Amino acid sequence: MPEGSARFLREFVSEGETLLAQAEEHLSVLSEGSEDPSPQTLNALFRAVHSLKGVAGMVGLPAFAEAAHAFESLLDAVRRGQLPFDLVVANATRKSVEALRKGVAEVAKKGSDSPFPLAYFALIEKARVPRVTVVRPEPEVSLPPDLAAVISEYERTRLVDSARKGKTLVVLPLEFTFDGFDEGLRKAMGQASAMGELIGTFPGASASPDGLSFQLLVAIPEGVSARDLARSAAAAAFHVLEVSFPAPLPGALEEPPVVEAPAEVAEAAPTTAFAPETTVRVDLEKISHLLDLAASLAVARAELRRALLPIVPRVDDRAALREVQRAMAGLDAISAALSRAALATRLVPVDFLALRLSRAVKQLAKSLGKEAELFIFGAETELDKVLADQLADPLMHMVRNALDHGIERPEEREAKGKPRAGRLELRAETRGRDVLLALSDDGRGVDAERVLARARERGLVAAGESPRAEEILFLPGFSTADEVSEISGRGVGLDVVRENIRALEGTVVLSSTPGAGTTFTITVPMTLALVESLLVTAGGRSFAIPASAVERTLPADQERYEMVRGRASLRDEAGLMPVVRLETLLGLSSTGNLRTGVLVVAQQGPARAALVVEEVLGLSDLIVKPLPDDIPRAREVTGTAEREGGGLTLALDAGLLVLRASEGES
Amino acid sequence: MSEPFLVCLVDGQRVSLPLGLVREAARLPRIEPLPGSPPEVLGVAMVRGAPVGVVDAAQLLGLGAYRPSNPLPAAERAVDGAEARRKKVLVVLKRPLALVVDRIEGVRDEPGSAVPLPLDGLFARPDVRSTAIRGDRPGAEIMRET
Repeated sequence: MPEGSARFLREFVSEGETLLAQAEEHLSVLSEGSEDPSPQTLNALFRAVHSLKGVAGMVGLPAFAEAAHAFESLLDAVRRGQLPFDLVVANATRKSVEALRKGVAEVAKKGSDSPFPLAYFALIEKARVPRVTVVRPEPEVSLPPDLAAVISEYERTRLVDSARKGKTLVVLPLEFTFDGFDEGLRKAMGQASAMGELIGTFPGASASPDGLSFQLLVAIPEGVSARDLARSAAAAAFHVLEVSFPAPLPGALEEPPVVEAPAEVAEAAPTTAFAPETTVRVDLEKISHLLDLAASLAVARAELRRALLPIVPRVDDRAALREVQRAMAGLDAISAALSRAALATRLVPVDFLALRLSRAVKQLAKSLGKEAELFIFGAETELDKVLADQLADPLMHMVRNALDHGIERPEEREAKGKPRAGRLELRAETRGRDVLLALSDDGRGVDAERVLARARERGLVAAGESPRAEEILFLPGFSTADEVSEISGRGVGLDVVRENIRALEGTVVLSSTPGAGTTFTITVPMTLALVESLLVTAGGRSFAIPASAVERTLPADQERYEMVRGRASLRDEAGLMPVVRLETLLGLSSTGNLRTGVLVVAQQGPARAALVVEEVLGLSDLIVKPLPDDIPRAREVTGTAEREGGGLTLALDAGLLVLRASEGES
Repeated sequence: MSEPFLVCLVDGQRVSLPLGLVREAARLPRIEPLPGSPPEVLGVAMVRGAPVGVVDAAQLLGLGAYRPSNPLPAAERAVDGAEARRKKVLVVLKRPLALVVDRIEGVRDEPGSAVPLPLDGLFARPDVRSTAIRGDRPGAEIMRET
């Protein structure tokens, strides 16, 4: 591991051991009775592995994070009901936990991670192949509209699965006063979990102005009555949801046949010919319109709230006020859910591209007599569907290029001491207002002399000039292949790739190390993105910093600063970093000093800075819309996002902030 | 035939801008001040889900108080007078830009005595304006709120 301090690694080992102990405990519970595994336990196991992946990523252990990600994907498929928790999965789960434990031990011993063996990934992949797909009618559950608006995809999966298993679905409305509501809610949730499956806890519309209300959605097995559940959870009422099973289609079989899913298509199409169509193609224009309407609704809601505020104290009718409050709470929940749902229709994870590329890698490598595998990092990074579609071709071209020109034949690789199979890596991340996609291979790299000689032969470079090989490769008409190959030499060169990326207002850069490999880095501005952000206040305003750039936060009054070249600096195990107030960096007037508030340690590559903010409000997934270039402003401000409850947050480019903070040092 | 003009009232003065540049008029939304912007830029607001830069037409005309020593003078002024703000109108242009005016007077074939708003060179994208004039049907979505 090139970066990261001993302290982080110690924290990782400690956290990792705790999470793995939890995972083992959940696994042992699951193994006891795998006939109908407890969804809560499955979910808890998934969350433990998900957290482990997150911690590994935070402290810079990519190989470990990659291994945890593969395992997490398997568990996700199981918890969503796409795979049964059978012996194959149980075996892969047990072995994965063991492998991750060894991985943690290795980090503890060596202070770094190393790639997990291919057998580990192969075991997980094998377990992920759907063995049997049975088509069952999908039950329809009549959810109240307020719940339907806020329920998550996972919760919906649990709801449908429970209905399918004949469980009774109950909604328990709970009413608390502000004092002590947490205690009451905890007790009710505990009771619900003990008597059935607590699918979710949702806000309710409080009947009293100083009260808080919730709704628990619970699935109870046969033999447990809804009335008993309500009594145990101290709920004044209960509501049993209606479940209906749609009638089979005319001509459909009563019991649809069991269908064996072919391994090659299993990933993409785990359904059968009898499955009803579950997707519909929608014009992107319509989706954009829906997004705009959702945004306008959020603004109208905020305006309504603002308009009501001065009126409320003048109204004596308490009942009417309660009605207004109830309606506003409902509107808030629906508006927030609508915004998220509308955005979700246009955002796709990088996985969307990765699946296509992954197949292409396998097929192309085979046709070239080579071996190669594609590894994806940041697969959860979400992109606008339009952008993802436009990036698919350039990426495919680069994959072809890497396999054709970069990755050597297996024998040649062995002779060089490399593994027989070439390794392609696709890394996706958001940086400021850009999306970065880097495709690397561990092939032979660019032979600069050969590239220059070929360019001269073709008259692309004048005799006296010696441009860099990385630039020549993007010249129109350039190719080093001696023959037009089946794969990449079809007259479409890297110049076309560059043009395509330029059309998206992006850049593509190639870097190469002879003998070790080549990396193409595409940078394109986001058109739309969901960015996990740390919300902070500075200068009395709220700002969002991408969570991926935040190393940690510390109370400002407990740290000791050093004066280095007349500037306050903070020293930790990894070195020295400048300390500066965020509002000062942004040119806003400051009321605090370096000892009031919270330190946010932000990083950009090896550079770090401690930014002093007034308050950290928490983490939030924000829909960040980039600000057009022609709106004049501090260049650290890259976009805007609507806050829940109205108002805007300005999204900041952490890289530029770190750079600005460091500028003053020299 | 020459292009019609939108005539607005700004600090008691009639100003005009080509109608072909205008997308719509709306109530003033909440404006988030932008650090590092010039005084005439009040901040950014979401209009139909997209961010637009909001410019104070009064400052643009040089009618408003210019206080260069304060990094966000215009923005602070805008936040202060909540009551005055409520009555103002946002004129959204066909680019990521909107103007705050006091009132819309109407659409006229000739600007008459109205002072043209100096939009040229406001934001450094000279091509945007001519595209908007060429390609759009003027005044289609104007919604008058006076």
